[in-house]
Amino acid sequence: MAEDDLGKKIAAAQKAHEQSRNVGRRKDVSGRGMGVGMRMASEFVASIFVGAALGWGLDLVFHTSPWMLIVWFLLGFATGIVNVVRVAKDFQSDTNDGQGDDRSEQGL
Amino acid sequence: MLEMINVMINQVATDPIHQFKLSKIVDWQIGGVDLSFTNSALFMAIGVGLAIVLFMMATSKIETVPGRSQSIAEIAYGFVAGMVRDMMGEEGMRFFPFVFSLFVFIFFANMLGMFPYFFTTTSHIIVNFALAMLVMAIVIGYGFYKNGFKFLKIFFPSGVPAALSPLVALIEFISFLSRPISLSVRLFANMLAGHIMLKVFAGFVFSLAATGSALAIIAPVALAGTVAVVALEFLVAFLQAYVFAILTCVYLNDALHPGH
Repeated sequence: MAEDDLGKKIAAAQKAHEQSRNVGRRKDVSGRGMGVGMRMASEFVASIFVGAALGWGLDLVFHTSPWMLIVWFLLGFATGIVNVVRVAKDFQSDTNDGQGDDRSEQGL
Repeated sequence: MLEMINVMINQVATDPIHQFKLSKIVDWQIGGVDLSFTNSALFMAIGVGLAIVLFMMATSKIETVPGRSQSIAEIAYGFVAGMVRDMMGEEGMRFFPFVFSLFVFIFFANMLGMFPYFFTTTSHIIVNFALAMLVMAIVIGYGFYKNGFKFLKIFFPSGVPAALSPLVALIEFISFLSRPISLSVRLFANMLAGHIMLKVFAGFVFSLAATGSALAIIAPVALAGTVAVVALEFLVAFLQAYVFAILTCVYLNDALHPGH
């Protein structure tokens, strides 16, 4: 009987410890939020920039101004959205399954 | 005296970009190409030298119970090794020396830039772009070397309907090309903006205090702001080196496992 009590106590203590660790981790992850935010912003802008640059270059080569620029700019915009969603997805899956997954410590 | 202070204020407050100016220390013209040793190159060399000396000191006498410098080296190793293993798995450890060098180089360049009157190497986009292109060259080279033409699967992710795959391939192509740009622009923009912001805030302290009017009361607020920005910049200096290294891992992972 006494052993059972001890077992319960240990389980409770372990649970509390686990929870406090998880709280610490969650804080850690939100501290990296700045990095994730900057990643999203730069990837969004870079995609649009590259798309527009490709379109502009193709216009120069094929003398189709301004059609390539318009099409590739829109493609770049779509790429930017795709990239931002991808980063957000990674970040979300990392913060949700915080338990024991080492990737959550990286926060990205 | 007053005139001297005025000149100082003008320099600090009106030219926050002066700190990024390249100057030649040794003028080298080899075969018509300008290979001068600049202040940027000097601080790159200082950063690399410092890293080598520190890590040599840390590993010179290895003990079971690590001393202070050995702990720092072990933490740095564990930090990057953990990052590489998480992102690429055990076989990614072949890239560990590359990722570690990259991380340490950028970290030292950023941190050296935090010293007053020091030059921030990473505030010049061409330096970062060269590093990013090195990463992309390794991704493409190793990707084709290991996977052959299967490497092109990175443009055709699995689970995409056949009708959509040309569009998706175009989007993935732009995404791939945008990687070196987003990698270098992020580091460059953070260092540039941070250092300009620091200079401008510090300039406010002088120009507000120099007005001599009631505005001078606000000067300490600007000073407190400067202190806060310095703290933020230290965080950003570490964070940007970290983000650069982790994205290098993400991109190298594409070379190891394309099209997942």
